[in-house]
Amino acid sequence: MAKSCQAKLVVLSHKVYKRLLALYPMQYRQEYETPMEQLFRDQCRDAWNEARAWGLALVWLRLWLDLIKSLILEHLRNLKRRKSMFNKTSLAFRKTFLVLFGAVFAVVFGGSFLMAYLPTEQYASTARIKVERTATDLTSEGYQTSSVGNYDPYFIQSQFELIQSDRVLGRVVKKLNLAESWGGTSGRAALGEADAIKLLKQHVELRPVRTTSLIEVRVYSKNPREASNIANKLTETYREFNSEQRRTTAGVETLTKPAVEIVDPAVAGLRPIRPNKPFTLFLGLFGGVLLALLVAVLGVFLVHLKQRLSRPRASTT
Amino acid sequence: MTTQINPERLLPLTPAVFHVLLALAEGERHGYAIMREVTESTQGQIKMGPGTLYGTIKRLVEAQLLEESDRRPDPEMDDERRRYYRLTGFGRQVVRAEALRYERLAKLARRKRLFGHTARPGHARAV
Repeated sequence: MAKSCQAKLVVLSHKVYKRLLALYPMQYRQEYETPMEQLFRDQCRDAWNEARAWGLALVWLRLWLDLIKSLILEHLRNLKRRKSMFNKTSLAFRKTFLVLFGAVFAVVFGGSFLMAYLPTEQYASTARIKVERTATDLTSEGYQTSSVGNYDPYFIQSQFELIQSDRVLGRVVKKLNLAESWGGTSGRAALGEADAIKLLKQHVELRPVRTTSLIEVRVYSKNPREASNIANKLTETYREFNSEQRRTTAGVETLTKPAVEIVDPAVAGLRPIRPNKPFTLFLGLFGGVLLALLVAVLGVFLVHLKQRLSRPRASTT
Repeated sequence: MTTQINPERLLPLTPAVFHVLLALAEGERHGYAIMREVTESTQGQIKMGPGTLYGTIKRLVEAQLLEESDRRPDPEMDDERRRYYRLTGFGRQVVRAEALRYERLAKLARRKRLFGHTARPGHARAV
């Protein structure tokens, strides 16, 4: 009778205690649930042997205090451990983010800074000329033209080629003595005429003003005055060249030769146009922030992924 | 790799921790044996429940003062699921340092003549 009563009470106590153990944090339970059950069973058995039901009641009485105290402690420790893990993890992420962001931003912005301040400054001067065919009803083909005075891309293109021809540019080189002045800057006494013409071609940019007969002659140079001088001399030379052509050529073709008028002479630029410092710096700043953000977020994601893959899975035993 | 800490830095130990370490000073024991040893050695002054005992063991294992033993009892003699614990070398140093601290305190108390007679309140000894 006493034996079966003991068995029932101990089994019941064990069942209740097992339920109560579920209140402990998961990690603690995984490690100590079984030995705690075992210990409690031993305690119940010995308490019964010593003082029967009264002994068991005393075990339960002491157990409540122990349970409440240890539950609070273990949950607090678990919270502390999680917080510390979170802090460590977020610290690692912050570090990765900051290092990557800083490095990428420094490279991009530093690059843009160099691009803005290292290259030699260049000035531009622009002159505008109007190039039109003279009014005539006849062309060399003998039919009435409808494009006189109107925008004709093929005609404009052919004028571009003339302006950039060696004959025109050669005269400009001679008039401004560019072979000598450019030769001096390159460490030689003087450049050959062909070299000077080649160099001049690199400094000249022609643009049509759409749907008009205007052509923009833009010249780039390190010296703003030189740029305006070359632009003005080039337009003048081209006008002269054009007039000579008209005078010396006879026949119907003469009538269709274009007349050149200088609309806007070039003036020396006040500010360099190359490199465009504000734009380059803005691009470096904006692009640097964007790229650095992208790389830093990607880096943090990769670190997170690596941590997740290398983290051992929690044991279920 | 374990980083060796000066045992003195962990002192003073709480009574529960000191008694658990003392209980294991003679050899490996399982949880219930530790609990009984503590109760007996303190004449019932310290009674630990399962929660307190295993909480203490957990922290001592984490602090590398204790380790779980590989030993498992004979299934015919005892429950083979029992876990046995033993002191580590460092744990032994710590418990020894704490015992020495108590010894020094006891010596100090002896020098102060706190042992040998009990002064009753209101019965001050004439100097």
